[in-house]
Amino acid sequence: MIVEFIAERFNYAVVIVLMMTGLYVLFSTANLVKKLVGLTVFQTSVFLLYISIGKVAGGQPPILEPHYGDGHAEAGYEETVDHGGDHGGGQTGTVEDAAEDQPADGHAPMESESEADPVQSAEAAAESVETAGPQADPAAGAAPQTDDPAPTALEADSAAELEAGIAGDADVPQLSDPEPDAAAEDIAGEILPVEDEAVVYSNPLPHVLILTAIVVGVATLSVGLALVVRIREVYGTIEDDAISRADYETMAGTS
Amino acid sequence: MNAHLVLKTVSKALIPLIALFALYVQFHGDFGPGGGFQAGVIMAAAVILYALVYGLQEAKRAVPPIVVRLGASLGALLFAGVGVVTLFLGGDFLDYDVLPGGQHAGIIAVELGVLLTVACVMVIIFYAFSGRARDISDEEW
Amino acid sequence: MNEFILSLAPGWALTHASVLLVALPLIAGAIAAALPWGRAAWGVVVAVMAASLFFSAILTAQVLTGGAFSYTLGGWAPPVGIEYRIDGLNVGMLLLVSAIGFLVSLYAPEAVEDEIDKGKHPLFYAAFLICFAGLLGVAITGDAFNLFVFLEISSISTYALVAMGAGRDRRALTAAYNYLILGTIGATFFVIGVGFLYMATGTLNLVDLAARMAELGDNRAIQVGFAFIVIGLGLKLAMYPLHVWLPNAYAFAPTMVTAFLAATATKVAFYALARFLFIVFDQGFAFEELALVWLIAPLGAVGMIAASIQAIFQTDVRRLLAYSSVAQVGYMLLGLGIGTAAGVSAGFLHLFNHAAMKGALFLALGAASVCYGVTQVKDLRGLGRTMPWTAAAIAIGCASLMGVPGTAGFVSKWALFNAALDNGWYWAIAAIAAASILAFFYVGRMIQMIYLQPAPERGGEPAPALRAPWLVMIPMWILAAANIVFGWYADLPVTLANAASAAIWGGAP
Repeated sequence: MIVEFIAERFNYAVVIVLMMTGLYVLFSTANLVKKLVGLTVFQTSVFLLYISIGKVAGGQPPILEPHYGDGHAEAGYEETVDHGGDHGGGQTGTVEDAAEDQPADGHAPMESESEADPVQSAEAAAESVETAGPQADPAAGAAPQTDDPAPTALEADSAAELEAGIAGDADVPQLSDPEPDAAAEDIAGEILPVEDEAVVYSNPLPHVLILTAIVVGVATLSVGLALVVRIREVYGTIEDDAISRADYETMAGTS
Repeated sequence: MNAHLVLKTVSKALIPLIALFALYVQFHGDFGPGGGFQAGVIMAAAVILYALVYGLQEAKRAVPPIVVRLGASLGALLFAGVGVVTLFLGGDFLDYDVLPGGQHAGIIAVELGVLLTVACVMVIIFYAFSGRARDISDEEW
Repeated sequence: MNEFILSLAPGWALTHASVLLVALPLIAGAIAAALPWGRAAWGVVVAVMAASLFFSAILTAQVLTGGAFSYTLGGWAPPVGIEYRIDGLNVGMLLLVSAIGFLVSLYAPEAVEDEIDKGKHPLFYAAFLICFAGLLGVAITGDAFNLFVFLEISSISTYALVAMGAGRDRRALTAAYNYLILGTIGATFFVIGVGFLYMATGTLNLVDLAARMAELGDNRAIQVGFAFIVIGLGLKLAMYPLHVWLPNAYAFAPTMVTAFLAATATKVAFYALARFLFIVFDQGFAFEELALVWLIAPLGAVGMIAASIQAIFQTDVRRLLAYSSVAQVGYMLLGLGIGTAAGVSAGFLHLFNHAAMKGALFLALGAASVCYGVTQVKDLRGLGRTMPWTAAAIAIGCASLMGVPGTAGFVSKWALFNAALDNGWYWAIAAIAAASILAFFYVGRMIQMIYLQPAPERGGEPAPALRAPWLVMIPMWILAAANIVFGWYADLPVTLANAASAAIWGGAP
């Protein structure tokens, strides 16, 4: 039980350990280069945190039509026409429990009770590509292959529980039964309702953000190292306490 | 007999391939993982490998510092220039839809700018750091 | 006035001013970095700053007449695309940053030639432009992650700018290094916070975030994210116990950089904090649920007093003013912490006025430093006779800093005083009074040196009277005059400050 609890949150444990290690190195060492190493470890932990939330079990790419910019659209791919206009982002519906569950869930795709064979589930996923319009109805993804408009009527709060039931009732052969709180897992992004947990979807947005953050980190690191090079040229040392002593001596000398 | 004969020969063979791979990553960015950032770093790696094996002076002769400095600016200007062109064509800043080639042309041009800037900046960083210490002569290896 | 500015503006500027405001300095930064001559780069800087000032004047006029609006980058509609959102809260910041940037850039050539190696001038100007663009970007963007990127664009270029003071004093390098370490921790905390918000809501657009978090209600991820964001921005804006990077960075940076940073950098972070506290997070959430009212305002009050006391004991004149800046940030935080429309408005009013005071003071000290090499408080001896105009500008800035009636500093302290009184916060009033008295001591030391001490002899003769070059005098006196003008006709800063609080609580800007 406790092992499972930890195993599910393994990434987050690593993130915390890295973060604390980085900060500890940063504050405990007097060596300027080692401080930068600590800083980089600290930043890396954040990259890992973002990458972790980018993995979504059962998510799907939010396909945006070119005319998306004109108004966020109900429109999806042609395959999804039979849903009516009511599908869309699961996030609004399941937000409450989602935020707490999310860290644990994004990573345990293997535990899902999917019985569909991978090819079929992939097809199912492909067939129900939907848009992630923010105004879209929260409950939508529950029964992607049915014509049943019932989900529109769901209250946001109960969406997660009801979804399971609807999906079961609909009896669509391609789909495995999603877990009751499955929809909670797509919260990390503009992502869609859960079709099949065996499919781990990588939300590209956190990756892009982290690519940017890595570039920022590289810039910071190189500016920091450049400063250390200059400090060494001027002071002849890269130890913080020796530098403070030298500064103190110059101050005592001038005043 | 030249020291590091193996290193020099191997890297001579590898450097064009690395540069080619950088271009592959750049242009394959349309269809798969890749893009300007990664390609730029790989491209810079080719120059840095050359500098490591043949010495900084040789590298600076092959890729002069003034060129990388101009290249870094030019890449950024290419990126921003796309934005300005879209303004002139009546769109919002960086709205690729108004470009003749649409989204595709826009992203290609922008990523080329990124490639140029990232490659040049990485080389600048390398030159700046390695230029601070003297070259290690062959005897000291 | 607003109509006049709008009538001057060409059509393309009306629609694209917001993006050009950020893009133009970035483009110019790339150009300046490639230029071989420092003077040409300076020409680029002045032209860009003038254009930016014009653009932000247009944006101000647009917001004041037509209310908030947004610009979509790349034609991608928010919340998916990045939007630039211009409303009453940030339009004042845009105007402030570009006005200070323009004035400081006029002052640049004299100071830069004195302090920085000739070969590095183009790079210095490029870093300055990029820093400028980053600060504007932080103020204008409506996207949480984009805000982080701009924050780091401005910060990283600031580290480089601060380090360029090493030609004069090698301690600039360690100051820049410490600033880099703490600034990066602050920025990373901010990203962690944004990550938590993103986990909980799945969006990065600030408006959308606010809407979705309101639906979410009580949520642990959001609370954690909130804590990280407040601490991260607190580091960037030098909130009292997190201010340790600031004094050295201000003291050893090139004088022009100090003047620019003191008037803008912490202010922009302060704006970002205000936006997150009041608009992105529900105000009741931040202040009532998390009892932030007992964090921000008391820290502000403690900072006002503690930093003022530290300022009294400084011997380096710019370090003295840097501690004073930390104290002034305390005033602004107090206004923010009061959490009413009057309080926030007073905080922003003090922000604008403080930019005018510290801009004038640091520019004047820069002039004194260029002419006489003034760095210590005792070097100011006899400045009233040797450089009367510069000394007068310092005196005006000091008076405003103390809050002498008839200066801008008095207006904003009075507004703060009233806001605290409305809340019945007598301890806050006591803190304002105490900090003003402490300000009298540290400012008094400078004034006493300037006017009551004889000028030191140089080479056996009394030092000659010098006038600073015109390009130094003009921006210095514009800012010094602003302190007087805003003390009597406070229309402009009051309008902007009220627009800021109106953006939070609604109502006409």
